Amino acid sequence: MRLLLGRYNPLLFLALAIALAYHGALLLSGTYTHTYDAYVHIFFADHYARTWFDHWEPRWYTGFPMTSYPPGSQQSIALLSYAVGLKTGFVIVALLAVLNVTLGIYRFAKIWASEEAAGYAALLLVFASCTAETVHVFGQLPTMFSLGFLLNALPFVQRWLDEGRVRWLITAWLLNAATTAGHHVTTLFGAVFFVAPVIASSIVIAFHQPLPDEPPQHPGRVTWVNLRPLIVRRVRRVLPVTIRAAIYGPGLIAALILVVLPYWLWSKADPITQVSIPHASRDSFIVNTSAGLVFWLIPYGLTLLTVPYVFYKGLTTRAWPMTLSLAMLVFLGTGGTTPFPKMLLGGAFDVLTLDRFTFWATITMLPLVGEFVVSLQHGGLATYLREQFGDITWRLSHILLIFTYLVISFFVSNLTQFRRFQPDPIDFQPIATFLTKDEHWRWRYLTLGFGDQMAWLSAQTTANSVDGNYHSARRLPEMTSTPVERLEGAKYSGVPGIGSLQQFLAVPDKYNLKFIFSNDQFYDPLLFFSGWHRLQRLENGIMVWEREDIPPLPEVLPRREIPLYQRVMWGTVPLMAIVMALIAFASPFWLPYLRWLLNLNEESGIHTPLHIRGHIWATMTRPFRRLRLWAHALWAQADVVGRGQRIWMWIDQRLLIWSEIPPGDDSPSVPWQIWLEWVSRLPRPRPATPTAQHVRLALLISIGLASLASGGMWYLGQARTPTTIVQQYYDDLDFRRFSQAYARLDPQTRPPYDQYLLDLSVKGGMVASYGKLNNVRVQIISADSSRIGMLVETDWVTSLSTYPTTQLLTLVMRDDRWYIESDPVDVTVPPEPFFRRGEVGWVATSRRRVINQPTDFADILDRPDLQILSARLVRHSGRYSVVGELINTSSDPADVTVTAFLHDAAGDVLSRYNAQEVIMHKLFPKEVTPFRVDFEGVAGAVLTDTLDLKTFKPGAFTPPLLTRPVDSFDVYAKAVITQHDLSRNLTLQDLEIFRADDGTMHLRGQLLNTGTAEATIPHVLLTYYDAKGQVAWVDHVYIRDAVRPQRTQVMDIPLDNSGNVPTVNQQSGLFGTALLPEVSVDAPWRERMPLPPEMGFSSLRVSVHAFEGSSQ
Amino acid sequence: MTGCTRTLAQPTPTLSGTLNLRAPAAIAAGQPVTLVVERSDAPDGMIVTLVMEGSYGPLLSRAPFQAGRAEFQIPATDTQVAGLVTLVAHAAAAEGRAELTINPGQPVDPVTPLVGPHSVIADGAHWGSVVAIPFDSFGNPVAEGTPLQFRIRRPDGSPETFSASVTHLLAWRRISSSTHAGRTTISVTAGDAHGPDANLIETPGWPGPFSLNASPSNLPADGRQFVTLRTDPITDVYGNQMLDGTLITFVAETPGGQPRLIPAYTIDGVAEAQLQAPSEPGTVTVRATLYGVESTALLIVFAPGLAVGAFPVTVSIDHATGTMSIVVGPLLAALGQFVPNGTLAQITLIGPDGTTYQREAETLGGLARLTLRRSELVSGNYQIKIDIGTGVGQTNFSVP
Repeated sequence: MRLLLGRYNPLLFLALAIALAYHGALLLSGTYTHTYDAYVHIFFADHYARTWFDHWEPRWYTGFPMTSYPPGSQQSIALLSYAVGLKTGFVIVALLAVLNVTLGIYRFAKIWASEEAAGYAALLLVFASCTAETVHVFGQLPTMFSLGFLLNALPFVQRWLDEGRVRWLITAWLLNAATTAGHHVTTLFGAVFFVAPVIASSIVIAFHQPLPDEPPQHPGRVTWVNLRPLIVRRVRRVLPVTIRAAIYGPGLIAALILVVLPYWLWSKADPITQVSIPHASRDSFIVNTSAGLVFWLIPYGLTLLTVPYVFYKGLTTRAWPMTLSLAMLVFLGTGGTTPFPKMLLGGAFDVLTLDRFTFWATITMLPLVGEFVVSLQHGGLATYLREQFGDITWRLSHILLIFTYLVISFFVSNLTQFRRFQPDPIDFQPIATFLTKDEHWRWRYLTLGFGDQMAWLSAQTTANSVDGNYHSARRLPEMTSTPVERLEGAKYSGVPGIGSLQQFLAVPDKYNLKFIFSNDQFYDPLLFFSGWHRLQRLENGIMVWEREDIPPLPEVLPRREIPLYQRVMWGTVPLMAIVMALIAFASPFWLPYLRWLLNLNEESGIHTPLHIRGHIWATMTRPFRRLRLWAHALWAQADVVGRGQRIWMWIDQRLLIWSEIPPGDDSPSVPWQIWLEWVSRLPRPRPATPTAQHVRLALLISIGLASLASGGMWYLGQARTPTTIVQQYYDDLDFRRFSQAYARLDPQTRPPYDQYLLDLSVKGGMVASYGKLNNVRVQIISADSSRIGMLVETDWVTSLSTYPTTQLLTLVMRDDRWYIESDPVDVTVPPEPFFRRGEVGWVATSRRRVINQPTDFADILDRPDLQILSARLVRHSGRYSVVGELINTSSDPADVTVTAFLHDAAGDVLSRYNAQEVIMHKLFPKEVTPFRVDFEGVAGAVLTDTLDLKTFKPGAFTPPLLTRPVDSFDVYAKAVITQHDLSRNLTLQDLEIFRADDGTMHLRGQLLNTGTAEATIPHVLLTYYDAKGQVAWVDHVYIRDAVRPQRTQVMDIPLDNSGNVPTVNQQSGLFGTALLPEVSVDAPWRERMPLPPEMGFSSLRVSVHAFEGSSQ
Repeated sequence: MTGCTRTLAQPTPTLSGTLNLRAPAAIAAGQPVTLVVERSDAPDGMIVTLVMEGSYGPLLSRAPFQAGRAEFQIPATDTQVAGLVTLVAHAAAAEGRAELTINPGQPVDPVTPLVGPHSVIADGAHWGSVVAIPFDSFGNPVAEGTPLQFRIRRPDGSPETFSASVTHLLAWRRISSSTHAGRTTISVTAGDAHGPDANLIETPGWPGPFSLNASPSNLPADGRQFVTLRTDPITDVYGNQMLDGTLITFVAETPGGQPRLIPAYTIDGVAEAQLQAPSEPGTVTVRATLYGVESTALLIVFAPGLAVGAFPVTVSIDHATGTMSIVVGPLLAALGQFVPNGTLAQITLIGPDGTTYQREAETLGGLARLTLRRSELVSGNYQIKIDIGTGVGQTNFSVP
């Protein structure tokens, strides 16, 4: 150890030890579980642990090739997982990657900076905010994994270029291969931003470095006579380096291609044609300040203070090639803040995540930041500070910088604890058990609201999901044509997101999607009204939603095969590259022993008599003696090295002769960098007196305190304006910060806090329970010194629709602060203190005897009989819809699926879709429901949708792509018996059709809840009939507020004023499950209300059902 | 070591033509059988290969010729699968063929009846089917023509019995529904073999007309209390009560001509729903409907409710806060009690220039309160009028 400490920089060992302790502790504490990517890599590792050589992963999407992502880091985890499990395997690999990068930055820094600065660079890296963010916030294991190998390769590249020893070349290539195994992009861009500066540096140094046998003259002027010798002289200097660079380059490219050859073949055969997924690193950081914080400010952290020094130092020393690279990385890392990165990168701009450039920038600047520390310790900065501000300031600056640097590191490392990017950790065992139980894995599942933890669930089951967390591998048009990263978080992806999810929910049979595990109530209304029902709440609080009548997955799923050699390569080459790189990298430790064994090295320090080694060696090589002798003879005969040396000597001699400068053409050498002389002439400030130093320190402290105070005052002033108070009030309500919201109410008129909470607790409904505040607009309509009237317009988004609301608020001044007057509360009292109502319960036992065998024939329930009363194909507002009405004629409740097909004149299917929201999926016996099948295309396929990503439009519609004219249609209705979500507790009362002031017809009335449970989201279906009593159009409306038992809710619904909806086709195939009609379609029905003749429809039927959110 | 030794070419015995394969024409399943292959000129020791090609694949046996005869003892385990077995014997180039029929045995337990659909409408027109596939002890479908006895107990307890013979492996019979809803139980026997029962659920058909009743029938029109609407037991034309959960909709028409739709579902054939009293006195007409069926009309009279008579109105102005309070009440209903909390009072203000302002105030504890900002009103005399139910209050005040 002492030997090692003596040979290497102690700061390096300190950095490695701290990295081990600091990042090891953080990783063991589970920081990675809150990151974005960690579980994805663990899932990939799980694949390799299960089936190492199988390139096909069926569990995500509809299957994808594992050759779509370099496997080095993931296979390393998989290998370790056999001994320690996946999670611990990840921790170990991540920790080793951090240590590798720490070592790498030290070695990298030594190329550009002093030994001391390199040690500090290693130490700085351990606590760098970019490291903390990459490892503990983003969980980008492959980035760190590959960066370590890349950084460690660079000194070998430099030594190869400078010394030309093949050993360094091979080591560099192997480390490049390991880099590629971890992450090919690092090798690709690393060649430009890391390797190229090293090559440039070596060439420039060689350019300036006279050769020993070189003529010593330095001509004062360049003339025609000495021009050629001067050029040849430089060429002769750089030629060896250039040739070595030319040898190294193809090897680097080969390492990039061969190690992950199946990846390149895959990307060529199956190019990523999907719509690019928005990434905030491509935003303007001025507009999207959050993105600027995460992708720019945090990675740089405190090193931003050193940027002027870094560029000054970098451009004035031998580090200038790396500094130019740094400048380019800094520039590209600014994302969409300026248009130039997009102009420079072209199409790649929309594919790359640009934060990686910032990350690499923070890495490349560390050597120079190390120089900054050296300068602050005992260099120019230290002298300046001590002379001008005194020792106290100098020491205070040390303390302040170290303290701030560490605080930022701790803060960023634990950022996911302060600011949750992921949902709370979920216990996946109940879900895995559920999927295993009763062969539930025979259907696909979907998770909602799991965040990146969905990958960890996938790693614990063999069941398949339609979703996934690796968007490059998506192949379903419904997903590749949208910029939706995951269905799982569809609500964050605007129109295409929810549109994409809606398609899976509306037509789940197409994807064999039967189960949804929901951890986000936001989606509950959408799921319910799409025909899904809650099956059970698992022990971990996750709600299981189920869709009936979904066919199971076929026994054999399609997969895309690749040749056997590619599978073998994928399973062996990347890991072998890593192992070989590590062996080569560790050669200083084992090579002396090998050389000693081979009798090649006398400097190993091991003093063993030569004859003993000779005996050992002879014994070991005896079986190969003949072969060895033959090889030696062949090598000697070929004389490759000798011939090469002779050719090179001949060329070198020619160059040497050509570089002869005429005698006497000599003058002293003059540096050409004139600005260095200018800088040296700048006057140095005189040292300040102790009194002046104290005064300056006091001034600095005063300025700091004054800045803090003025900042605080400004913040408070901004936070107390009436507009801000109202906005914050709504924000508090949105985020359920009720105590803060209560504090903004008028203390003189607000109810007690308990009463306030009670009043809030009884406000339910789509907006109150499932809405997310999207926008608050405040307008002052009246104001005096003590009272302000405000018109507040809010936009709420839900998974079903958006809700604009308008409210008048009054703010009053109390003790120089504005407060909001409380809303009036509902004081009505229901008539009955205790209410009873008979209800019917149903239970389908499925298998009366609990066995794990197929359901007995006698236990299979009949499908309820459905009769389609009428249906027609209409074109309304530019979209095709099939509207109609069906009745459940059986005596059992039914879970209904209605599917409509559009046909061309030849009878071929043009499009197919299911009735989604405009239907009551769960029907009582003898109940009638209208239905409307809205044919949709692939969400997001229309350019206008993708352009509007920032706007959430739940009701957005993408028309289907119809290549031929529509000629006819078919409607199929099928059902299974259900026991779920059967309640009809809402009474429609005092219905009235009237003409509003704007001339539109409205339906006004009340919803009365006569049931025992809150109707959280009432859903009103409006069926318009023609004169023959046939359905002409169907519309629907969600009522915003919940209706509690025995209470009423006023509704005012604008009616469809479009008159006769054009009928495209009324003759069609209507296929219910009833073989013969049970009822006459012409039967009179009192539930239809006559409509005014000017509306174009003959009558209207209003039906209502509701989502009861609190029932489970 | 023998593998390393070169084998000497042995002369292959030759035999061609036909072998005489003797086998019984038929045996019972699970019975051992002896098969004999004969050829007088066959050399002793020549191996005869016998292939039995049956329903579940081939069985292979070998035996040597001995004095022109090779005998195969086929054990009972190889004759359990019923059906036609083709026997093919080979010896060198000679071949013999025969056929053996393995007959299934007698039916054994269980003889399982299968009914589909599981439910039909009990109207005498709808029907289901019962199917049975009896098997012998080795799992073979029994022989064609095997008689089966079907026994049926109808929902009303009446038994029925009929026979059917096995044809094409199964016996089946169409079972028409009765006109009595309930469970029809079906069992089947084949000889001494029995099995579990199967059920055919006979459900009520489409309902016929029915009537309604309501209680209480003397509620005031207070817009608050509930009247329970109830149907008589709803039955189909054969008197079968609707099953629980059948959806019925009560359609009520209020005195103002505004319809109400009240869903309900049957329990024990009766659907029950709550009708909230209207705010306006008068007669409400109620009918219950189900697609294509309607009950008789029921008329319910609601007496005047909410506030009755005249009630006081007080107006006070607070100059310090610049507000004006209007307090209405006590608001009393027909029995002298407070009107329900939350009842809306319609307040009409008529300003000095004839301008009308409409406001609403909810009642709490028999009082309705309204606060107005003084700055919202111009100076002058105002008239204020309050309407709640059939009650009225009014007063005048002036704004300085």
